[in-house]
Amino acid sequence: MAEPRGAVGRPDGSMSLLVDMSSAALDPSYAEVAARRARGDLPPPRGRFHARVVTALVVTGLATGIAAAQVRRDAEVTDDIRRSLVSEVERRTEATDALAGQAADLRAEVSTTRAGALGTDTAGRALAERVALLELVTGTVPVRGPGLVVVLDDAEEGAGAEPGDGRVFDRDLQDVVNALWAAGAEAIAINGQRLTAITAIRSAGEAVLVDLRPLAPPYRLEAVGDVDAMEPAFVDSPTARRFHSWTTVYGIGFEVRRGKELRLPAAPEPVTRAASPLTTSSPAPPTAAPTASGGRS
Amino acid sequence: MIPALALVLGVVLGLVLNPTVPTGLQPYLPIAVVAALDALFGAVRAQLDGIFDDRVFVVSFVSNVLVAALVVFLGDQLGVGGQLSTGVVVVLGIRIFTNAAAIRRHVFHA
Repeated sequence: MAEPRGAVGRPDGSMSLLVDMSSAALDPSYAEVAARRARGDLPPPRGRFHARVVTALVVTGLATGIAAAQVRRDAEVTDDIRRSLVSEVERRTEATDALAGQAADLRAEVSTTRAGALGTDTAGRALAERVALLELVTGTVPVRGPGLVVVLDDAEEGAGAEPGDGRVFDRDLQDVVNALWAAGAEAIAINGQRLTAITAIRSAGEAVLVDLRPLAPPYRLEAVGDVDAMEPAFVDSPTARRFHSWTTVYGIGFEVRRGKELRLPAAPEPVTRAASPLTTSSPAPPTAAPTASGGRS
Repeated sequence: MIPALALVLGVVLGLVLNPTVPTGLQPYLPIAVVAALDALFGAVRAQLDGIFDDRVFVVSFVSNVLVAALVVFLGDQLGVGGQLSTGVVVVLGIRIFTNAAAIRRHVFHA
């Protein structure tokens, strides 16, 4: 584009690119050819619309139509992919649930068989008792019994001075869970997720994850244990008092009540992290107890 | 009249035939369309200015489309294809608007 530039020192000189873009919006070749025609350097134009012009226009329209059709088809493909992903997720979740049920059945079967095998003599019965206690402590069996129910909930929108003030965070749940353990809880579950010594309570974005599963408020913590000892110990704990004061300060929901018959599910089978072979013929006590609160963050 | 009919014919053909564009060419098609539209608006303005020349139009049409696609291709190779596509669309968009404004002044004298 050989357009003559303006005189040096134009006030918009520093914006020559922008100026060029609008002043040379029409291809300068048109003017050039017209000037040469006027001088007689070129023969006068033939018919107004040559075949190649029409061809170029058809090509433009064709490209526009194809591009539009392409965009529409791409959207359909994206939709299809999303639908298939959703159904895949649903299918896998069902399969996981079925397998989890199967695992629970097998675990019960193992327990029964083990109890039968160990129940023959005194040493065996002692071991069976020990196994039962460990199962309870590690959360690998469902438990039921009386206990405390603590319900935590986010405040209504805009109740706190700043957004997020009235939200229940992962660390709040950690505090309450620890206070419940300290008060003598024997087994705890949050919204039906059983807690073990290695269950992590974390947050990802705005969601609270327990054992990597996202939970939604309200958070219902069920703690099975000796209620008569647990309730005063928990209610008097600094954590419970703090939350109680937060109900008025930030408007979060915090409620403690007794549950007559709580049913907590089993936690997922823990991954075996350490094991050692038996050195004697008699069964040795387990050497790989789960490390205490290793997963807390 | 003939040019408008040619344009409509192309659009209808593209929508009806709906051919599959090779994956490698897909990013360049919309850019090529914008470049072609720029040449088109330039041609209409030249026509109204009375200096339209079919040779200039075809040359500017082909070079516009090729250069726009080439710039985007180069950007893709350098990892800035998306940004260069935006740049091409902005520059050509400004030109289209400027030419459209000139056409408007011709047609409506306003």
